[in-house]
Amino acid sequence: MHMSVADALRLNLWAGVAVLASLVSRLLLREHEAVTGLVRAGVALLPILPGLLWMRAIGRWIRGLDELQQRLQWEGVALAASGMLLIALVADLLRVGGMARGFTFGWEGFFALGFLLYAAGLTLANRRWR
Amino acid sequence: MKNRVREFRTARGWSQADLAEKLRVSRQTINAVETERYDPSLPLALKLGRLFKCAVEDLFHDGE
Repeated sequence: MHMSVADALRLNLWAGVAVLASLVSRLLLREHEAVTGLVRAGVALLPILPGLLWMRAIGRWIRGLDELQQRLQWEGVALAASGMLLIALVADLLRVGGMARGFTFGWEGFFALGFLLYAAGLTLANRRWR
Repeated sequence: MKNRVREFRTARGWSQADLAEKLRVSRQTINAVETERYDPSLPLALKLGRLFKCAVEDLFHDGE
């Protein structure tokens, strides 16, 4: 399956907006520490909306693919989701056990991990159905 | 599931890419079906039957 750079950019436009929103959110939170309550929560959660729109765009794109391609993509997504869940669980258990204290993924780490797992899942699925 | 998709396709002188284009699926899907590693959905099997002007049972069988 081939995708032009323009199509890839269009598909991931909301991911770019989410990254920008995250940077703006962090800056605002740092510069306005006096702001509390709902406004602070709203600013902190600023990247969520473009993130959800990105997920919707990805879901629509997958639904537009042919049936085998859909299967490959969902296998990649399933591996990413289950792998991230497992890693988050292991990290939490280690934290509870007094290890890995203060360790946090941050959204960048979580995003990078998810992408790596998705790419691995997609590669494995592609190899099986080649 | 066994199938005769490759036989029907080559009898018409079509490449996998030609068939994929006619069915609006990827060439990878056609290859996976022909090598019997992937069983197509019922809609795709019906499309194949319509395209080859035959019954789905002529294209696919369970090997029994």
